[in-house]
Amino acid sequence: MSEIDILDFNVWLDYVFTTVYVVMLIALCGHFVGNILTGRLKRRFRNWEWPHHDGPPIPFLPKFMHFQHVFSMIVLALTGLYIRFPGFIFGGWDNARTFMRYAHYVAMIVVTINLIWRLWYAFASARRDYREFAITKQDVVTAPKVILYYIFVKPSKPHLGKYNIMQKAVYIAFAPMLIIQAYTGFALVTNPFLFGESPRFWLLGGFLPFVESVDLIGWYARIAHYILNWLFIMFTTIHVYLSVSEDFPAFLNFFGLSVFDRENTAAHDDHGHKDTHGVDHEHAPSPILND
Amino acid sequence: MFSARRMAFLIALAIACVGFLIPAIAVAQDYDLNFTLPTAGKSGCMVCHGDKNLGRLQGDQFISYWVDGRDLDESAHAAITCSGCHIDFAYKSPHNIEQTDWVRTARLACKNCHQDQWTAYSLGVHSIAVQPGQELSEDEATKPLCGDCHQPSHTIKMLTDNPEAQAELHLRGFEMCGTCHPDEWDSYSDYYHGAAYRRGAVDAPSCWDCHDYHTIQSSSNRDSTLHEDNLDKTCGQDGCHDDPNETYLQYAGLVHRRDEVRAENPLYQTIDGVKESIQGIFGTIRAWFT
Repeated sequence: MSEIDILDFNVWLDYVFTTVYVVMLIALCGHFVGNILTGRLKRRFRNWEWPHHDGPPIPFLPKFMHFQHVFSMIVLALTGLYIRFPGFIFGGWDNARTFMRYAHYVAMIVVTINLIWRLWYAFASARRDYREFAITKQDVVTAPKVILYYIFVKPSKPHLGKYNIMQKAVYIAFAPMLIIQAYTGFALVTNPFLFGESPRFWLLGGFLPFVESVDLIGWYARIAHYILNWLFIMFTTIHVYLSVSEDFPAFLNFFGLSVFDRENTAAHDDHGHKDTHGVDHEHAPSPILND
Repeated sequence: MFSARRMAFLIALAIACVGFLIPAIAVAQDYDLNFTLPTAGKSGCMVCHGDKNLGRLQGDQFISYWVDGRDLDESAHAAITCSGCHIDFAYKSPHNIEQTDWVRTARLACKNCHQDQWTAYSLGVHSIAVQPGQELSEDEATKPLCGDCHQPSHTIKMLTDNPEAQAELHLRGFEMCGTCHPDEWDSYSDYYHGAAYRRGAVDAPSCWDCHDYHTIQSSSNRDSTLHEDNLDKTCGQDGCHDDPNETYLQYAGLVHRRDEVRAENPLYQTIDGVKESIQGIFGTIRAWFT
């Protein structure tokens, strides 16, 4: 990169992502207004009519992993942003960066262990649930209808499984994003505690003869880490918004704050008939596990 | 004839008048005490300078001459007598010394013991190029002396094998450099160096970690640690960057220029413009109701 690039790039990243994030928040506000205007909000929060949940209850373990993932990711986001923008929170706290760094390290270790645990749970445990995340051909075919539902063009969306294609796509994307984020995050640690060298040295190929500057590669790793940080923040914001606005009982249930009221939610099922408000839900060929 | 009672009253009145007048005369005159201080201790100076109220009005500013003996006793110079540093001390009071004399003395005060540091300082841009007998030019007069950076001078801590004092010194960038270089202090705001340092990050570099300390040179000087030929060594010093190459070193341009680069960013300018427009609209609306 030329001089102007390396100087400007950091500043560009700050403004591009903060701008995109603000635009995204405005868009979500717009979507919320759409929920009000189309009556979806009233049906959900006033009449308490939510998607039907007739699958088995979600086991404790994935809920626990999700909870500690949420907690750690919040810690990572706040401490990570502090490391980049010292003082944006806890401004008057002297030498807060050291604390933030260590909090960041601890949280990233928790998230990394959690990721490995979740992947094991998905693919190798007795209750492996990776199929719930697999994108099928039907998902792809019906994807436009899902999108049209979210932009209020269609009153309902096809239910093909526990998650719709947009959820699946984002949850699947989270796995490689987390792996890259963990890798680039560890690559930013410069304390030489691994055989006299730092994790950065080993992870970024400092031992390779053609690597001219590990610091420069570290700079690229930092940029990647920072970009992914914003993607996580944006995806998570959308995820939280849709979890609350589209399926609040499931949101509460995931944090152990309530159990599903199956009688009420059953009024809004998706078995190809009209619900109490005449909303026509399309037929779902597979068991409905709309958690 | 005066009565005995009247006589006694007049004598008492005369004594009272004399009793009030003598101190008043003493205050009105510049006092001139001739005294000798013990050369092997500080107790003589501290008779006066241990008083918290000791000071002098210069214009409308109160200049304190109080010296906290406890701080002094904990400092690196606890074993040094006052006149070991105040080498111009004259046995007269109230020690009226011309400013230029004081400056010259301050230059020399530390030199006697800290010869290496003095030599290093003499090679840097902060060195004052004035010889005894010469008048200080305006430019030279603004250059710092040892005590301007190493302040408060009575509480200088021993740094050798003293991590606590080193850490304390590390975070004194504003006091040591920022008071004379406010623009440079304000612009030291990049992500990982300045912004963190100014918020007390012990692992962020202080001014002198990059600019050197006693032998500070202008960055255009080839001997400067910040000359482009020396940046790799400066950024690559122990505890900083391992092997910065030429491309990586370009980041150094952001260390004091982040605000500048930000102000030049078109997206920032757009956002700033929008922000100002919104503020203008709200200002207009507010003006309608006030």
